[in-house]
Amino acid sequence: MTTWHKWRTIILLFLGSLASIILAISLGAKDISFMTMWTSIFHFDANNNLHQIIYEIRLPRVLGAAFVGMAFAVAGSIIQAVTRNSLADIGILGINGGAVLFVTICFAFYPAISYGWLTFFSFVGATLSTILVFSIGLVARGNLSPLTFTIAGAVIAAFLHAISSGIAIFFDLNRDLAFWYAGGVAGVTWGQLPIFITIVIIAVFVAILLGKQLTIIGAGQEMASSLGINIRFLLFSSMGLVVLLGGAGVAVAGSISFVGLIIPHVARKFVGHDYRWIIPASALLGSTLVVMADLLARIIFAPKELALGILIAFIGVPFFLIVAKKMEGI
Amino acid sequence: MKKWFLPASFTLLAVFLGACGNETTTNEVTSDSTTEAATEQRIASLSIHLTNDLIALDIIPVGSVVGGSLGDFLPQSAPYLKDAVKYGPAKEVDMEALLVSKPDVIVADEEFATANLADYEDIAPVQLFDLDEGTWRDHLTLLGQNFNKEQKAEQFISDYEKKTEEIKAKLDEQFGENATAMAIRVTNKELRVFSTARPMGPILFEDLDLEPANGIVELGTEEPYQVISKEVIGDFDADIIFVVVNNDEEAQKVYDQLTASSVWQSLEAVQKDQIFVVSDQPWLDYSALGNSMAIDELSNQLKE
Repeated sequence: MTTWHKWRTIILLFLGSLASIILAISLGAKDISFMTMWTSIFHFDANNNLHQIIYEIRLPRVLGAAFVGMAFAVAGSIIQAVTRNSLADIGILGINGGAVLFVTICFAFYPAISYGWLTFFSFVGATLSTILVFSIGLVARGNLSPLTFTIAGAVIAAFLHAISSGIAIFFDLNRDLAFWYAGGVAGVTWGQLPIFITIVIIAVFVAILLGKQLTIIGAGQEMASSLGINIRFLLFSSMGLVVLLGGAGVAVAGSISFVGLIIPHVARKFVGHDYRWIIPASALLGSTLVVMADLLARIIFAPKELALGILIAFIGVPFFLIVAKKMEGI
Repeated sequence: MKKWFLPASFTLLAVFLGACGNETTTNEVTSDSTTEAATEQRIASLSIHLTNDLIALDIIPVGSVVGGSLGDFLPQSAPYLKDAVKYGPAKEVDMEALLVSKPDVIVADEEFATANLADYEDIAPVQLFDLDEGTWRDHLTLLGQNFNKEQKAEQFISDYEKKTEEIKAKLDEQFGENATAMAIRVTNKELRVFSTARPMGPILFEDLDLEPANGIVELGTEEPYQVISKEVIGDFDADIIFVVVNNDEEAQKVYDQLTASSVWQSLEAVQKDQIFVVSDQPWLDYSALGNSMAIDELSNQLKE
């Protein structure tokens, strides 16, 4: 696959992502014409009810979906690269475990806590559990092997989940927790977007810069070391990106599984095994998947809405199978 | 593998069939026990709504389940239940607490109790109620018959009808006879619109005789509410909107966000100031006590 081919693929994926966003803003439970949608964006009239619907409800929701998809897909790609485990997702490094534990503790001891503080503590939990997984990885005999990481992550995740479950049962919090983690972008507001989009764009950009090193580490640590790559630095910085992307995604849309697992595979089918290309391709594919899934969740039984997670699996799996089958020869 | 497979599957089958058989017999016992009437019995309630029906009949149960998300007795019944034992949420009843409270009889919601019926039967006779069948008046009347409080039940219902009539007249006067209404609840992640099913449906559309707004009937009666796209909230075109807002800071903040949006402000009901902000309790407690307190709350709001 030549570089030109890859550029062409990325441009096509970008156009696909843009088209999905435009489609998702045009369609919805409320019947609004394409022209009205267009004028509401470029000639917004605050007195026009339909313009308000587009601007206040659909735009933030669709943009939220696009960047949430981007965040989870890129986080998944990075984790799959550093653990050299193609079944890895943000759940595997104990990141969710730490976030859930902290949120559980907040609910148990300070039930009146505000949404903002919950988000903050879930970030703190995610960071601490990642540091914990790292320390175990570092203590374990010299080299930081992907296997050590995966095992340390799985063990810590199991341990943290056990503690959370215990607290949740004791304080009867399961319903609160389920609601906090329920995935969905219906509640995304303009207030959340600027900071969230900035975080995602910067993190994705940095991930692309790390792309070359991520590709090399995928070929084995000895090789990477002999090529002069500082493995600890790479692991620290990439895990930092994962916490940032995963944490910000969960804060805005709750836990949305599957995107981070499946999108990197689809991206590899499109652009090969170089992470300088996998990361932008994942970002665009992830955004398209979540935008389309949310669109379907809104319009299949409109005005009733379906759960986003169900739709992501529903269109993600067939899409994945088709891509896997079609590209077999390449 | 294969050696143990056959005997094991037979054992499983036998256990399964045995369990089926058990359930039928306990069900018969149940229906027998409902016919017994009693006065000063120690009653254990495995439904927060039945608890509040009992309280309306001046019967204080020796113990009751608690509200699932609340983890405690509902605020409207808590003052009556100071000495009552907490059995945990209806889905996971604390058997030990139930046993220790030594009930003579257990009243329970069929929906949650059927799974563990045999265990409850071992502790005391069980009276099962299908809360989806009939209204709270029927449940109250039945409880009244079972515990010799028929008159109290009748009295409570007629008092309720009387005060509802007054509110109805006030609503008609203020909003016209054919005023349409809807009830919603907003959370961080979704907009929920209540259907005509319990808990909100019966009180709004039967007791207060309001007309369901456009599309409310279409939401069906299987669920208490449906998650609806925010962008069509105006299409319901309701004259009156009841907004259920929990009594906590977070819910208040989400409500403030809603009221600040121009889509909300463009609604006719908002412009005419025909919004009733109501709390989740007692409004979402479909019981004699709950609905009666909800009507009192509405009466106070109408006076203001």
